[in-house]
Amino acid sequence: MEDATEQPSVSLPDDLTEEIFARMPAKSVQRCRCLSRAWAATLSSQGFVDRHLRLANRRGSPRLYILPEYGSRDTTVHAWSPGRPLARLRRVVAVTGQCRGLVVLEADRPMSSIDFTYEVNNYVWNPSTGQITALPKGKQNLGIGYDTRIRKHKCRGELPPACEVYVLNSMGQWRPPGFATNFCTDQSIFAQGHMYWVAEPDNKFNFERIIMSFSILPPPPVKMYPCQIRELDGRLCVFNNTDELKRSYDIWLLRDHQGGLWDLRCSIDLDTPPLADTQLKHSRSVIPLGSVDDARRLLLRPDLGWIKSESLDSHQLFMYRPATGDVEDLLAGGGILTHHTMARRVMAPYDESLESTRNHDSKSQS
Amino acid sequence: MATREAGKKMIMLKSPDGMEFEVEEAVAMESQTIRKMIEDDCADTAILIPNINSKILSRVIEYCNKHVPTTGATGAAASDTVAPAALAEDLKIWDAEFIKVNRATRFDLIQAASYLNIKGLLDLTSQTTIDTISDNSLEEIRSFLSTKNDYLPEEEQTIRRENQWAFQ
Repeated sequence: MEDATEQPSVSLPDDLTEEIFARMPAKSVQRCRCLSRAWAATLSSQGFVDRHLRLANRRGSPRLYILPEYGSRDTTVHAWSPGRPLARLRRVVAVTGQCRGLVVLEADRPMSSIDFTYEVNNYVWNPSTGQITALPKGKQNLGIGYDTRIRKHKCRGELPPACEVYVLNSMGQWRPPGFATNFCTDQSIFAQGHMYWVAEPDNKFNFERIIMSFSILPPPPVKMYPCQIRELDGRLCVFNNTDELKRSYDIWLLRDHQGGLWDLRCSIDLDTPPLADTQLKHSRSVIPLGSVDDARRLLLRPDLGWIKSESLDSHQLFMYRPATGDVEDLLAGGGILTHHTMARRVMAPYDESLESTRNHDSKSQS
Repeated sequence: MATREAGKKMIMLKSPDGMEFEVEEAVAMESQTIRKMIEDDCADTAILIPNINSKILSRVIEYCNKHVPTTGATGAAASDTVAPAALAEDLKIWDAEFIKVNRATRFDLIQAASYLNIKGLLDLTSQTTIDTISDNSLEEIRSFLSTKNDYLPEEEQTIRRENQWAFQ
């Protein structure tokens, strides 16, 4: 529409061009690193990576990645966003909350086709760029966090009875952090500068400050265990949706780490309007996947753990605004996500991020 | 300060080419730069907006007029309870019409939005530019940005290989 009347001399000052690049999808920024030497340097600087993480994720709709169904032979991971087509990502299977755009995946790799033995491999993956790197072997229940002092990601892995740490982009090995820990019962989450996981058996929350101190966090002022944790509004979120007799539960957010205080974010009640008026009336429970729209709306999905085999409930994804009660069904328009092969897959939000999964010192290997 | 209606403070904005625009204070305060001047009491009579000609300034004011919270209240509280989906949809359509301008004008709007610190306008103009270039080849982006390729052919091969993920 516009380009017929262009004057070729029109251009933007570099600082404003950078402003635009900082809002681009990570993949496009990576391409633009090939524009010139100057742009390669600017777009690779840690300052720009931080700025991009802040600006590129501020706008609009949630970005979700969709993992293959557990145990399936299909290993295709998809990226999805309302209004954008489904994109195929690289092959691999399941696990952690994201930390500055990186997640840790766990994949079973067949060792032998004769006796069907498998080896578990862990990978660090950036869903927005598709970059993936194998982690050193031998750990389970991995977590990922970010150390602001050295500006690097760190992974935590368990090999009972020890818990060890691996620094990304360091060419290093798993190292003992120097403390014992209760082991993780579910996925670990990075929020508010700390890595959190729910530990058994003392029903309290253990956390590991990313600089490796160690402590226990008091739970919210209600009975919580067994609970699930997520990241919501950039904070640690905890809820318990396991009561078989109740279809309502509260969502709590950690106010600040030092004080150990909790704020009630909202209540989810599937028996009372507006949520009861939606198709969720058949669901046992829902899970908050994340918040969008400056934290005004929650992304809710039926808890797949409660859905029996193939049912319509698993084809649902809602945007819920607690303040007004607005509920919008993101999959109402149909499309490939409502196909039965997609319905039971794990979905999780991710951020556009330029964080590299690779060892900077080993570029020549690729 | 001029007052047109009761309760509505007016602000005079001047472009360097001598045009004057009288706008409601709330509208002008969509610009964080102007907001700061008003809050610091630097805005008694008229505010000179350097480097933004009257044609662009009038368009910026048009944008702010449309985007100022309609309830009179400001901040998150207003947009939390008002701004129903229909209103947001209406704004989206209006934005799409507003940004149908040639590249030179869009670049001027980006510079104005940046100087005046109007987040929404900077997002809108940036996003439109991103949409324009995101499917282009590197060569097209270079010409769009007037950037010179200073890589030797073999160097470009290397850097493309290092960023191979982005080309898949």
